[in-house]
Amino acid sequence: MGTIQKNNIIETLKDSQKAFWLILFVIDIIFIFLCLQGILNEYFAHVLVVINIYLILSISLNLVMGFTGLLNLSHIALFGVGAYTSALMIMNGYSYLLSLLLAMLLPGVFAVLLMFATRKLKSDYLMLVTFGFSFLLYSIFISWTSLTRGPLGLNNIPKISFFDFTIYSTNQFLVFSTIMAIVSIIIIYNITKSSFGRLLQAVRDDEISLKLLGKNIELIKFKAMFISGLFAGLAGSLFAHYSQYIEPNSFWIVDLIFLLTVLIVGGLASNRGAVFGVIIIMILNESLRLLPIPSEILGPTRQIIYALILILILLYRPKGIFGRIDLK
Amino acid sequence: MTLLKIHNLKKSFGGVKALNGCNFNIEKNKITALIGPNGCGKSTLFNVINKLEYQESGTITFLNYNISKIRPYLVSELGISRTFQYPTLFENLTIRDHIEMAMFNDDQKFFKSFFIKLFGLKKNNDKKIIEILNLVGLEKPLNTLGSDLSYGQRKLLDLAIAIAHPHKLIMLDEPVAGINPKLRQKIKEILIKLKEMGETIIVIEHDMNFIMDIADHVYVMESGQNLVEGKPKEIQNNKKVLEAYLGE
Repeated sequence: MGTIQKNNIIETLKDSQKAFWLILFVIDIIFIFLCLQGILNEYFAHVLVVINIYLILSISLNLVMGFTGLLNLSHIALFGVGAYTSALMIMNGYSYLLSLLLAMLLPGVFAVLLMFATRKLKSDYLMLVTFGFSFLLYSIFISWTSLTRGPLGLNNIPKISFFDFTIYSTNQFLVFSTIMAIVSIIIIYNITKSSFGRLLQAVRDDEISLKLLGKNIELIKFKAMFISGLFAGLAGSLFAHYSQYIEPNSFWIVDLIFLLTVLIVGGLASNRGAVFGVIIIMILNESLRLLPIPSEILGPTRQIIYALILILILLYRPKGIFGRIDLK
Repeated sequence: MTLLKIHNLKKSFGGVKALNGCNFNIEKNKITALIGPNGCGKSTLFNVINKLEYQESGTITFLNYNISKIRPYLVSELGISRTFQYPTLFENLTIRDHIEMAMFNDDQKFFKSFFIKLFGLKKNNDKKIIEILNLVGLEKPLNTLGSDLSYGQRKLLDLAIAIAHPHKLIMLDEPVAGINPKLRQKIKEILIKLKEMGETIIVIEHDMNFIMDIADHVYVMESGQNLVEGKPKEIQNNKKVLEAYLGE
């Protein structure tokens, strides 16, 4: 009986897109209000900022992985490119807006170059090469010490500042990151619901039939990767200026697994799934801090839990919570 | 008037010569049938015309353009539509999506399509879509997913997509394979109607009765080459054709 009720709630949310987004928006506004009023402490504001950054990252990965069907494992490295570009630009005296622009464009261009190099590859082969690309960028982050300071990372990254306004507090960053996340979601949502978004899904379902309808598949893939890269760069820039410290391990396998878990739990090819997945996994992540677990094993415990969640999802709900396509 | 000219086309897969110097002329406003035993190279010929495969030698001319080396989407843009023996639809898209994608090519323009969605400027194309579906006799709601269609319905939607796509030539790969006699009759009537409307069609089919009823001209292939050609009645009793099919 309980299972039937739970399924009904999920099905109801699946059927009513507007209700989902409205509920989410209202909850978001309430939390921001409570943070700004000081009712919720800075820790909550921090968690919400991190959720916002990962929301941008997950919906942009979902655009290529879920909607276009490209098994792209380079997203976390593109996130890193955005973070390093933005941090280095601003540390060298460039304005934030210019830094943000380049932090978005560079990952976009990298994504297109990667797609160009892998344009003949599909499924597992594409996954392997894009994963290799992540290794390559990670190696650059760690080895190009004159630029990135290698494993020491970049610290004292300036706060975001534009039009004589500087974002100092966590609460201010919460408002800024929420606006960025909402704008990103609106843009990607409209892309996926447009006729171009329909083409992306058609690329995923059957490339040959689409070629015979006169569609230039490679160009469609380039565009999808470019857009996805832009938003990975945006998330990277926000991350760099919020944390004020970045190092190569911030853009490595642990975060990639987190991102994949989010998408698989939420469901591929669903914007709601990408958003819901981030919220659920982040709540789970933070809840673990409340358990009496020594801090040195907290990280591995999280990895074990991610693995268990993935196995359970694959066994019992292969489409994820809101997903439209089967993982197989 | 000749719409499509194929000259001395050759294509091998390893040691197998799938096309071994075949020649065809496809006349405008006619139904041309391509028949031959399994493995004689009919589907390979279709794939080479569509550029899903590239020939090793020989030329293909469509509307006086040499399409021997161009990319598949350009062949389609020039006006060649095609169906498959096993219709491959987009499982997660609706009937409406399939037909709209076939009808229009500006969905590839990112900014145009994004702003049309953002500002709700999308035109309603349902009337045109329903006209095409009525032509092929597919009576299903427009929001039915491709994955929810039966085999016969998939065949009809595949045909509707080929018709909806702006074209000058339609290529049909075994349009009545594996379907019931009632639907076969229906597809026969659709093709005859299309011919009356001035369409140019090439059809691969094994069902000889079907071919005899619809085709204006028949090419028979064997081992990647032309065996004979002519009017359906001339082909029906040709000794070489009987040998190729029945091994007599």
